[in-house]
Amino acid sequence: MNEQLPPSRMSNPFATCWTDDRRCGYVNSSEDTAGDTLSRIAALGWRGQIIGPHGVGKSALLREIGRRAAGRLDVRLVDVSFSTTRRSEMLIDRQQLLLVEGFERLPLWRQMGWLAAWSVMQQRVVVTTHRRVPGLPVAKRLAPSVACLQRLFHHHVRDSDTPVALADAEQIFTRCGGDLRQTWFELHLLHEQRRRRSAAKPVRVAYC
Amino acid sequence: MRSRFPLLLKKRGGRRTGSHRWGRAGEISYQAVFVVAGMIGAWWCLTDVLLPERELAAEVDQFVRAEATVIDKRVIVRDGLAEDEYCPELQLRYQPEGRQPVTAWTRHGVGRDSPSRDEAQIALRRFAEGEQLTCWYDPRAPRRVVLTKGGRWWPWFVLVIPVSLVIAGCFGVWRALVRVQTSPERRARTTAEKRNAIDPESPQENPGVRLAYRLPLDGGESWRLSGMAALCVMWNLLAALVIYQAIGFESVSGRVVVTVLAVAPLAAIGIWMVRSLWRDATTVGGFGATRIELAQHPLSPGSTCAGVLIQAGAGRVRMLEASLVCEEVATYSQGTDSRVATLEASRVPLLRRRGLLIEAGEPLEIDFQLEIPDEGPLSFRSPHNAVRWAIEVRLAPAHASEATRRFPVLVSISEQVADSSPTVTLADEPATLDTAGV
Amino acid sequence: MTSTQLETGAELWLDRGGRRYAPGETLIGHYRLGAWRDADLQHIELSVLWYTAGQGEEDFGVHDFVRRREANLPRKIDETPLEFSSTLPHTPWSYDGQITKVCWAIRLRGFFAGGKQRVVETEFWLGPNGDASGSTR
Repeated sequence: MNEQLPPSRMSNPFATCWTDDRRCGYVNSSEDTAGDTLSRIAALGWRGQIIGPHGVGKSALLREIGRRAAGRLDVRLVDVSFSTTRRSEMLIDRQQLLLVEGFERLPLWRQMGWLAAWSVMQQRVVVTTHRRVPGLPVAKRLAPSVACLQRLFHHHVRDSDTPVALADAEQIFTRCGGDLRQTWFELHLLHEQRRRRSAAKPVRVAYC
Repeated sequence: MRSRFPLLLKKRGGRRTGSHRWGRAGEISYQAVFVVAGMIGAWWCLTDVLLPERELAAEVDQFVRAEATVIDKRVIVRDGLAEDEYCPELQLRYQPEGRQPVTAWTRHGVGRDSPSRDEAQIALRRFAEGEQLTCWYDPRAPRRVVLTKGGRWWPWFVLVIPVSLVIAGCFGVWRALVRVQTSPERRARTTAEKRNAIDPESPQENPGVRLAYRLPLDGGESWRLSGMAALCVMWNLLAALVIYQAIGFESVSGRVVVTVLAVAPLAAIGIWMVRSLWRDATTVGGFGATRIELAQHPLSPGSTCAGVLIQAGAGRVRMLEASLVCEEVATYSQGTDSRVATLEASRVPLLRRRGLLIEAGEPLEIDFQLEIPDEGPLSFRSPHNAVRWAIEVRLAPAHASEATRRFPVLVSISEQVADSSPTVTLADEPATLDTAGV
Repeated sequence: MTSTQLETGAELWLDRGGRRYAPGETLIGHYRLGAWRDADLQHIELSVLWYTAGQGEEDFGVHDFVRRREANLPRKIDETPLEFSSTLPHTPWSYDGQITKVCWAIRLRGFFAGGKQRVVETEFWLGPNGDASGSTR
């Protein structure tokens, strides 16, 4: 690794700019592609939910579905983390497809309210959520798996020179209990430490 | 901040057409509603309430004092901004100087106008027919009479609401106009104010006793302790109030129920909070204050600086050490939580002493030398990332808990303040690049 | 002369080999729009900026910025590279940390009809002696 190169986002394939699934594209699995999920949603009358924990690719899949569906329908995307979920955003023309990212971030009473409203209005809607919500069929359940990790790992390192191997990723993934987001953080640190040939340093983490 | 109106995306073959223009028009209209509503509200507040009251207050200064008798009471209706308003009025009888007695109605000083008739009636209950009151009348028009003299300043606070709407709406309109096919780089240059976003904290001008600068203590611990103390006081006051109420219960069974359900848990938690607070206080500040003074601050890369550690207190100290620490901090938003990761990039020991005895009133002073590497890094702070330096002091008294105290240090160069550039956060922006082939 | 092309069509490079710059130094570089011109290029933006990368959210700050409309640019037949220069600030320095990096870059962004955008970017060091790596002590 050339130490003379200036620091950049290309220095580490596990930086958040690459692993955050809000920004990177969806990586298909051989068993079930984004196109398959789209077909399933269409068969369900354009209503469904994508379930999975942090970092498993729900946002990336939702956006990929939005891109593919935009050829057939008018698509509107609402990201709950950035939107105040006004009525005008969450209840739209029933001919349009509403994609809601981060539905689990809404308070429970608001979730129930929107689900009821969508049911009454027969709104076409696909949401991402951590836990199953009533009233919407399950279009896709994303579970962090070693296969998912392998797929994403190869995707992230394909254009990068990293001293981190897939075996390291699998070991960390197991130690993190299948938490993909935490796995990327630890791989990021491991990449840096091996690149510098330095001893491992602890990282203090706080959540607020 | 995101646009309130999500883009409507249509895709026709290889082209992507959108309704950016309509979305922008809608956004501007939406914000304009706030401006209009705020202006209407402000206009009504000023013309209907504040300015007339101010004019009256100016006129009342010229009024003459008299003694009046309450003859009658009533509530009248007048038009308000959105609905009828009920105004309590008193009929007074008084004698202007050198004139015949006058009978007149007044509402000034009786009570405030209200959308509720009941509330207006309640205001009238303060006055009884036949009661003697002091009033002020206009010598030029004796039938104009008021019960209070002097203007009020607090009703002007009501303007805060409409003015806030106008400001928010104007800002929103301006933002909507600015965000036209703009890149994040352009918005950073045109909208962000020129502020010291990368200047971690301006060094405080704290003169030292022995050396030029005294470093402030990292305020986290003291703020936490103050917060805990306030919470502890409020909780124990609440518990005392409940105990007082419980004692006042007439029935024994009532006292038992209140004690079991409320008093006992409140008191238990209150005692626990007091013990925790005492333990933390003796840990954090119990032994004695620690001060760090430097000959110069901020520090420059490649510079060497003299410093002194001043430890107050009384008693034996098993170990006292100070280190220069450089940390990296990275904040990542994960759902509704923020993950803050901190990594110690470097630690350089400055001093280490064992088996000390500190006399009361005679703080221990230990000199040391501080050196910043040529390559830095400089202190850096942006909304989600930071590189920070600090002197960390670890104190292990013989008869108290070990304590760690941090003193932030600024490493910069003299042109840092003038050259700082405005900062935006890419995380605020959705993916705006269309990476499909040209 | 080094160049980075994230997208085919345009080129962007800095004249100084090794991409090391000291605070206050003048940065000089060139760019060539190439095939961008065939794709309904409307205007370009050239910026000198820093951004953060690592485990945290990305932040960035723009030091220098210029926006040019297509009509102001030389025609395609003249492929002479266009020069730009900027006097670099004294801070922040580039920093190659383990969980946080401060990266300096030149970014060329092209705006095309239909709302498309393309970006070409090249990084450089800004620091004393042109090098401010994170300490590993």
